[in-house]
Amino acid sequence: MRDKFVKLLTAVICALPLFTHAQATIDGNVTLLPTRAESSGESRYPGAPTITTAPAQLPAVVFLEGQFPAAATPPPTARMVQTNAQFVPGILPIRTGTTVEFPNDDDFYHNVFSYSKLKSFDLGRYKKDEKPPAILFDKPGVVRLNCEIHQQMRGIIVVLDTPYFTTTSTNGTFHLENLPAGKYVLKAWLDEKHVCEQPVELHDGDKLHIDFPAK
Amino acid sequence: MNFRLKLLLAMMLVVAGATGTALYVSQQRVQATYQKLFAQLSHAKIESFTSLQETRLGALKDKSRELAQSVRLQAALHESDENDATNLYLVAKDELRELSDNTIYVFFDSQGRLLVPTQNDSRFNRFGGQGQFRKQFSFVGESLTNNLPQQVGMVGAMADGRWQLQQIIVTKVIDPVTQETLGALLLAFPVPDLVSGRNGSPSQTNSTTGIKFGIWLDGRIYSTEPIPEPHISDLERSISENLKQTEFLIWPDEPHRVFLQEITSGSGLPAAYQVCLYSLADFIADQHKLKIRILIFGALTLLGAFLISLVLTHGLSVPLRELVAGTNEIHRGNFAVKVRVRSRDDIGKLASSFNEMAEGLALKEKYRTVLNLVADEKVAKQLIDNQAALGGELREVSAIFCDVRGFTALTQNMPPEEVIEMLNEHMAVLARVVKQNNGVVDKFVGDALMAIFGAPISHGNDALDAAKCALSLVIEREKLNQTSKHKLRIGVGLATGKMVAGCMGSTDRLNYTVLGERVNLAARLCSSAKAGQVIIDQTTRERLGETISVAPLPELHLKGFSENVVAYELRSAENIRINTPQ
Repeated sequence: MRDKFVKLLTAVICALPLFTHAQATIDGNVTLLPTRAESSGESRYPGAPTITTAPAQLPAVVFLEGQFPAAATPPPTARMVQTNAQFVPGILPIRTGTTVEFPNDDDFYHNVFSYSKLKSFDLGRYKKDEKPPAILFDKPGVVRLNCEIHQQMRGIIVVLDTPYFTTTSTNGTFHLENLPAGKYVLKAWLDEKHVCEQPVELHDGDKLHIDFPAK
Repeated sequence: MNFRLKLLLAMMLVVAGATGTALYVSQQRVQATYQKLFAQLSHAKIESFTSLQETRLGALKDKSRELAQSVRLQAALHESDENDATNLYLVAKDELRELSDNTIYVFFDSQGRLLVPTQNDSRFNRFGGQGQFRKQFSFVGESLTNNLPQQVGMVGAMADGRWQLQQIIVTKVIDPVTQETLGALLLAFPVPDLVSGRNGSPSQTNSTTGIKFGIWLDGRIYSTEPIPEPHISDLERSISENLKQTEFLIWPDEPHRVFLQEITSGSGLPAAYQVCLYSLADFIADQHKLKIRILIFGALTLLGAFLISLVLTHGLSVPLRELVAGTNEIHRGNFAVKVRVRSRDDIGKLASSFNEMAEGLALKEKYRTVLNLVADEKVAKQLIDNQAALGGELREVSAIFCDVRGFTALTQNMPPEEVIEMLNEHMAVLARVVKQNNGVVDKFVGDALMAIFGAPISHGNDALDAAKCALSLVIEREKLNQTSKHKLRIGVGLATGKMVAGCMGSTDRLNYTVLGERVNLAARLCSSAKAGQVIIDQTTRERLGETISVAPLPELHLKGFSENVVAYELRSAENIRINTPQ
């Protein structure tokens, strides 16, 4: 309930300057990467619960790149939950300056760590009812998450310098609204090696449809 | 080539052949034994090295696999690049802390690029620095594309002026979720006890004997013991040329057998071969000793064979020479020859047979002589040649009868010895004349001589021969009368006609003669002839025609003949002429 409230508040705050203009909207579709081979899901440690849930198809992150004023207030805290031995969501786009919490929703231990150059950390082990550790991501970039205990657990946090971003559905459709007029670059991030982009010029009231790759 | 020489040659050939065969067989046996021994030793060496390597490698291979599956390592590898791999090596250092000091570990990224912990990391020193290491391990990038999760092999590394063999384990790091190859982990440690063969000290320059074990890699030998130059270079070159063979020989002056076995390595890694080097010096020495022994034995056998041959050939050649000499004597007509019987063996039997043969020949010769004496020579020859018809044949023959006039009266008071002497003298002359005129003395009957012409063989004009003979008989006797103390006069009867000629009598006693009415006629004509007269019958007269001169005689009434017989006195035949008897 509190989460919803925070999201709503964020949207309102973000949208405030736009109310003076008619806002632009972009719809589209991203051709996602083919689902990769699934792991056996075996735990690295004998005795640890073996979760065989396959990781879902990772959606892409679609965002509008441009010069935007820095956020007046820190963005609301985001969450990367460990549940059923998976990171949920598998891919989490956030704006620079966002703090992300890593609650453990499972009845067993996880040990979340990242060796990403952007942010290297090791959260250690904690239980479901413990206060989740939180990390502030103050630079843009990509942070890959692993669990030392569960090899198949993979999570990605995409830290963006833009307030206009979304994740596609599992079939690749996306919808961006309340976009300001101006010249930007619309990008779709599938992974480090697969980033699609297209320059866009938005006018008030525009409703664009953009596919990645362009059809 | 005489028998002795032949026997000697044969004996020597046999001994030489036997010695050669013994030599060949023994050499082959020794070689096979050594080869088997070498093969067993080589196999044992290779087996022991392989199992030792397996033991050494087993734990490290497991450790590598385990590390390659580590989440932290995979995460660190994923985040590392050529510029910054510090974190990766930190993670690995923690995971590989129990590795021995001489084992180094190095990572490559998914593109096969070397990830370096720090620019001046000392771990590359044993490979001659980072640049050399990159060059030497460029194959790792290629090996990432194959399906082998782990490859084990060897590389040679030059550092601090010496070559050393490094065992390497390349393990791919694969993301278990995406199956993406994130990179590779390389572990390397020096193979203990094996150094480049050239590292020997000068004092060991003669140590090419004995058994050596080593690894051949990239044209270089790493061995347990140093091998001096130039042998090592020869060996390295020979192995490079004979990689497809499992064994071969090297250094003809100082022969060694080389056994090769490839060490299975991953694709892309340089192929290494286990090498066993065996000196053949002992084998050659043994073979040489054996050869000398066999040759000495062969020489002694040859000498023995030579002596035995001498004794044997002496025992053979002497009797044989005697036999040859005896044969020559026989050839010369000396049938009285005897050879000495020296033994009871085949040669002795041969000598005995020879003696018997000589005796037989002597006897036959004696018979022949007697035969010639008792029978005419031609008849005897015909008899010997089995040409005289036993059953007889009808042929035209001229028969002569010749006897002494008044013989009975003459010999009445004569001692028998003198009679015989007189007759022998008489008959010898007559027989000679008959022979000279192609006649055959058929028989002597008392003082009479019967001769035939045209049997057993014809000489063409037998009647003329007979006529000439008849005249010659008279002439020769007259001549004899002039020298002999006995003055004898003869009369001769000659008749010609068909007569039965042949050997007559029983099978054990035969007499070659002629029978017929004409024989009787000749005898009767002889009886009618006066001393020194030759009377011939009508047929002879007709046969001879003008070649003779005759005087007709009144028809004769002869005993045994119903009718009177026409007869002629023969005066001459061709150039033989007699006087008319008084």
